Amino acid sequence: MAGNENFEPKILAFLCNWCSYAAADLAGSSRMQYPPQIRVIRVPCSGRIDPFLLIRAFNSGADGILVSGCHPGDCHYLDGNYYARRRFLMLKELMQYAGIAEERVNFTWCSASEGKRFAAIVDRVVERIKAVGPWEGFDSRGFIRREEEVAGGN
Amino acid sequence: MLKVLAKSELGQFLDKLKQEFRVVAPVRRQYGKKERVEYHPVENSEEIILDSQPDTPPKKFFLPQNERLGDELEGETDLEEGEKETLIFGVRSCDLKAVEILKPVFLDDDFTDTYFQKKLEKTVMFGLGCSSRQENCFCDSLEINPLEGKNVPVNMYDDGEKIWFAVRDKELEKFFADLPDGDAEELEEKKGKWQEEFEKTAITLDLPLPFPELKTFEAPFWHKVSANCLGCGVCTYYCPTCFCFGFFWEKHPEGIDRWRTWDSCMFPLFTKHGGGHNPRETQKQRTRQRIMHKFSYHPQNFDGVPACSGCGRCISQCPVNIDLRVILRTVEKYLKEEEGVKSSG
Amino acid sequence: METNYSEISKKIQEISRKLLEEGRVDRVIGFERGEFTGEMTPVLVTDPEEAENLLFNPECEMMLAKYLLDYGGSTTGIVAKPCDTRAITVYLAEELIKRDEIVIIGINDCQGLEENEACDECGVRNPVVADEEIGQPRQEPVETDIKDDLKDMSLGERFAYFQEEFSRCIRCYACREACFVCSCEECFVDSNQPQWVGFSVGLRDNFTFHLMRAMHMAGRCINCGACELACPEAINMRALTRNLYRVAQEVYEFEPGLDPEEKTLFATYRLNDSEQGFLD
Repeated sequence: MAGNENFEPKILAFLCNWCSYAAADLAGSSRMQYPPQIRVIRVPCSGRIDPFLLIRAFNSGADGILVSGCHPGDCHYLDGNYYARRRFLMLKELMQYAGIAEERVNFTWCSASEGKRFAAIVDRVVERIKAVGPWEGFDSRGFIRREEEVAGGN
Repeated sequence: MLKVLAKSELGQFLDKLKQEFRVVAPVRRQYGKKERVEYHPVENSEEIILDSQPDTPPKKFFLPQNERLGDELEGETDLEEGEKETLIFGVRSCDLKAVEILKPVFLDDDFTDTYFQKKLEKTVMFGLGCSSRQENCFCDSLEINPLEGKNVPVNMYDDGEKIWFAVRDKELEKFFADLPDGDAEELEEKKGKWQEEFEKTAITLDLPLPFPELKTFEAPFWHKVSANCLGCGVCTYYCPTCFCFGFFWEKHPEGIDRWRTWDSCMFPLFTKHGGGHNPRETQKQRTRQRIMHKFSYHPQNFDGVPACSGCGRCISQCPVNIDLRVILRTVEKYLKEEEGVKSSG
Repeated sequence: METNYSEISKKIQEISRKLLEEGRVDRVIGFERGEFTGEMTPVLVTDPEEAENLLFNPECEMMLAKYLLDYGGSTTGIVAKPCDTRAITVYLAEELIKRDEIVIIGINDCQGLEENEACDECGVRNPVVADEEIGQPRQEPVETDIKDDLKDMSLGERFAYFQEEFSRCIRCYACREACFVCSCEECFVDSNQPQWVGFSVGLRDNFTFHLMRAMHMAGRCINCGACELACPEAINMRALTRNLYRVAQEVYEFEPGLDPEEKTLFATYRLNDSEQGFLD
């Protein structure tokens, strides 16, 4: 688990088209260094991200997620990120209550001019996820009850 | 060969069986607040429960809820050889009958389901005669004898203190060699008493099997009997005879696997076509399908035998307490009334 | 004061008979006792003569509100516990049913049900909306707290606990069907474009299913306990939704099903909503 020196996390980053994706762009064109472990998915708006996608990310083996949208008040679609904010807070509570470390579930805001901030955020996220170690999956303990039945029936 | 075993010596006896078999028996499990009796590999003989019907049927040993059938590259996988045979200890008449019902479905002459067949071949079942009626069961109304399991090498009886074994298979006799002989008359007397109890609480169902499809299909009562159905799959997943399954492919980091899992006619997705049309759109149609399959289509195809063994699990487990017996009574009444109208008119 | 359930049942019968005879409703949804099982089961009464079968007692644990969704376009009477009326309120808020198509026979001063632990956490003892009321409304408020049994567990312990619980899930979807919130035309588990959850019943997909289910409940779930009661495998899935209910209460001061005019949690926002736990 934690302390694995060679652990390179797989992080899915959902960035809104209007602010955070532009921030990532800016960070790149300004030649800022940030860790390469994030895989960016560009979405129209943080308000359009179905929480299911984020749960699904863990189902498919991502070690963590990062969601970033425009700062509240700056949404291209006026209030998309206000709706998103409620959803993400509830999702975070849900994941944490179910036993998934909160370090894996990251939300933030980044405007198009904040290339530097974006690089710093990615740095932080990667560090946070490295600290909790690889995600072992929902089925880290195997089938438990089902296993004995299937194996035994053969 | 009739043998008896004091219950206190059950552990020792099972140890003997365990040398040759993987012994599975109904054991008690505590899940949260709910106490359950389920078939599990036995670790400790004290947890075996013989006086109460297991909440889940033994179907899962022949038709597991998930079964991996191979992957995209290897093709079909062979079953593992060399495993110990499974011995299911204490299977009641209803569940034994259920296996008999499943057999012609999977072991058809034209097509044999090898997965089912191989599992069945590697399984031995010890029957258990019921000494009292279980919650909601009605196998005797479907012409099944609750005291006498059919097609089993050993039939057991539990009278509270001793376990009786009626051994019918020569090969298995070696396990029973050092047990004392039982008194056949004493057992008969006990069975007589149990039989009486069953007769007292029996309900008579006068069902024409198979149900006449044309007469019942559009009958008005279906709406009433299905009105409170939620549409979950509990009744079919707990049924010892429901065998519908689906195939699908599942992706994982190493490749793609082919799986077979249970499916249920109570789900709308069961019949939904690729184009979006669903021939069984309402819960009424789906409930009707479940009943008609069990009591009309199955008997039409398999010598008049209904695909129900009267174990009553669908009744006990239903979240809204829908009662199959009430539905059968309704059908019975409806057909009688129809008959009356016709003969008088 | 003892609650007289035979008195309540008699009132229900009287009112239902009257409603059916006068033609104010096409049917009444209530409870009757099963012929062979002796247990309570939901029943649809269309004939005034059958109204005498309707009963009410602390064994009536099923939520009836969901049946209302099947009968749009005609009038339906419903025997409603306070939790049913909250469910109806959520439906009204989401415009899934029309107020003038239902007649609510509300039961005042609910004492809770026998087997439902959620009742101990419920502070709503009188119907939120009702057309006909039975009994006297309870005047003094009930002080209750949403329990949190898993509070003292560590993160890893909670994860292991839920793994153990969800490994038992056979995906019969009884929790979904028993839940009044689950009224989507197509459930996410039935969708294959995109396919949110795998069909095989393994821990990975079971866990995913329960997380997604809980996420769908957030801001709609009224913590009635129907999911837990319906589950044949006694899975404690309510722990997840109950926690979200409490968070919504604490963070947004939001409780669903109390006011048909109020929007649901995710259908609205405030400018100064909390950003607790976000990276700054």
